[in-house]
Amino acid sequence: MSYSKAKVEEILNNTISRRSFLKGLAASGVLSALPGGVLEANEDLNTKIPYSGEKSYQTFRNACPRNCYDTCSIKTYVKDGVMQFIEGAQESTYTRGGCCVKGNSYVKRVYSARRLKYPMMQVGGKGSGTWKRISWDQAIDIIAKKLLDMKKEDGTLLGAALTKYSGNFGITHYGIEGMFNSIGYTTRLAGTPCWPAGIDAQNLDMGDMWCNDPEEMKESKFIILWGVNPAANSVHSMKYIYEAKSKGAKVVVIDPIFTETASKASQYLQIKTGTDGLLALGMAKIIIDAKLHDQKWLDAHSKGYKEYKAYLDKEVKLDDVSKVTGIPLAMIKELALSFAKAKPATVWMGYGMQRHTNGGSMIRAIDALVAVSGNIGKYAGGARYGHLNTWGFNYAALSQAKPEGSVGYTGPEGAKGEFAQVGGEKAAYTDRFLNINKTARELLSAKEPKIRLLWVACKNVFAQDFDRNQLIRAFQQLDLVVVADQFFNETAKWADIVLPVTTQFEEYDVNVSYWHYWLSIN
Amino acid sequence: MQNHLLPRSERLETLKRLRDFFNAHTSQTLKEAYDAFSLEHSIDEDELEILFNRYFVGPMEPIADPFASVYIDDPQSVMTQSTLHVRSLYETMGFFYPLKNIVPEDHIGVELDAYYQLIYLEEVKNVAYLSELRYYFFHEHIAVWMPQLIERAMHGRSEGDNAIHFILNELKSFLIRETTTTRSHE
Repeated sequence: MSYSKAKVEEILNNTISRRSFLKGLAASGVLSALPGGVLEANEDLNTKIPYSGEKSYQTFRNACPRNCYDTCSIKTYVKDGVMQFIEGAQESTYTRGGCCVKGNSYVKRVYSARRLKYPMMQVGGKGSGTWKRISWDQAIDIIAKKLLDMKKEDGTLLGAALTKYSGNFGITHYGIEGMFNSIGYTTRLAGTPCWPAGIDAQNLDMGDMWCNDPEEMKESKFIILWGVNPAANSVHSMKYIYEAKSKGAKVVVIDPIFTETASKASQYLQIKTGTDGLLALGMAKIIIDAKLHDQKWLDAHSKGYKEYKAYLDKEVKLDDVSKVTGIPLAMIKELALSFAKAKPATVWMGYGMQRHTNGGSMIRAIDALVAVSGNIGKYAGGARYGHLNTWGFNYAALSQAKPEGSVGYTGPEGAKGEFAQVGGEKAAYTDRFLNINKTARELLSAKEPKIRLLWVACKNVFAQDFDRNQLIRAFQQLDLVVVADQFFNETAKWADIVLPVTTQFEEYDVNVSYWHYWLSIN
Repeated sequence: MQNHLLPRSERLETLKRLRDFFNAHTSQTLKEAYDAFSLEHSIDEDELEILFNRYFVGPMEPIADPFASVYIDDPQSVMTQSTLHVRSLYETMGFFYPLKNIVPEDHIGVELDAYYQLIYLEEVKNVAYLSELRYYFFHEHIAVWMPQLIERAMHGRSEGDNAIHFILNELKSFLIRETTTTRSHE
């Protein structure tokens, strides 16, 4: 037998030929003769001439859910039911039509052959690599049975722990906290390895943590990018920095590393790591000594200025500032005076410095510098760090009361992270909070009851938490580890059950940012 | 050329067994599909599924992805141009695919199912209407990528993986027999 490739492709690609072929197919009795299997006979065979022109795209609205300043609004283009490409939404003046390289590669992520496809169970033990498929119902039954057994044996559900972080910031991804809340008092790995010292610092200084709109930066006359590298990790903010610079603003980068952003700046100051606070104090002293500080604003809005100035007078020696920071004194003076003279002026602080010893104090010193210069609460000014109130969702499932009769933790309440928001009145019990920054040690040492079930969501514990060997021991002593993820990773390797989860292109969601003021419906 | 083929019923039965094996998604159905080959090598139900998953499912990176797109278009992706081409072929053949947008149409089990039904149509029902499309499907698509899957799986084989090795050999033999039967006249 032989066949004509050209003839078959004519049938497939020419609408008239295809129509004739399908009509013949319907008349030939093929459909009733097919035995059926995975594929079935199409009883509604469409023998009309299909549209032969270029098909238009369906468009969908999405948002990038990553832990990123930019939280892009996305427009997704679909043809033949398959994502073709995405672009930044033009309607968001912040995203303004462009995504970053990670964003632009999302099509490859959605259709990656490497995605988790089914719920699976590691039957040979954690790390054995022996996996069997289970149905969603089986997975739910196994997990629910473990929870019920724990409750029966321990009298509480505190043996069930949730560790979740920033893999997806969409509102629907807070559903896992809601699920844990809905079953009773449980244990949470709480806190944040990211930016807590700075959060505390800004709350102490301002009473809350709000951040000037980054879109205002285009009107700033002086921008200090202090330990932040937006050319790499907030690319959409760069256009405002460029615009300000093109209008004559000075852009100064202070960083121990000569970054991509430094290469775009008017001036770069290479500071010794961990000395940022002292530089800020020195600059404030120079500004005050030159009487360029905003006394009117300080009188109206500040507390403790007198003590602050006395501290600067007594403790801060400019020669020491130069020596310790590694920046020539003349350069520090020029920076301080030009910053004070420019109005509005702003400082954007990155998250690196507050991870060092005295990190919170360093953020406070920079807050104070910006306050002394009179740029707090001013359009295009501000001591920018980020904000919590725009995005820390606390919806009904999260704040609802525990089931009646639930028994929980009665010890001192542990630290809460920005994701552990539990509202409402003071209860007799609380959830038990373990320090997320000591995950391995906390899992191993928790007692009465010990942790027996761990649910991992939006997080790759083995990539993000330290002490791998201790983590392995901690995971091995758990009765049941459930990892929900899009991909198999180092943490999934040590799971009992993996559950595949959707990407943002396969779900409804709402996303907002800890930096800009746009909200995206996904 | 016809003499290269297995007797009709055996050809269909082999194809059906291969189809059922690659479409199985429980230990039990997989074992049933495996046992249908009546191979000398026996294997425990759970052990077989674990092995099968390591080769073709995951959750770790499988030894040989079961999708044509990975071999034809992009080693990392599903739902590529070749997948849509197969979708178009199925639609032209009069198939309805209930798992559309759930499991890509170019999954090895789905393609073997399509091929089985097309052979069934010809051999059991004596309907030749789709023969030319069937030849095309085999020579221009199946024969392009399934040998690559077999090669990749054989290359990644470890000691003790005999059950999968036997099945891959069955598939390989089947493909060789089918390949020698038809040629494009272009």
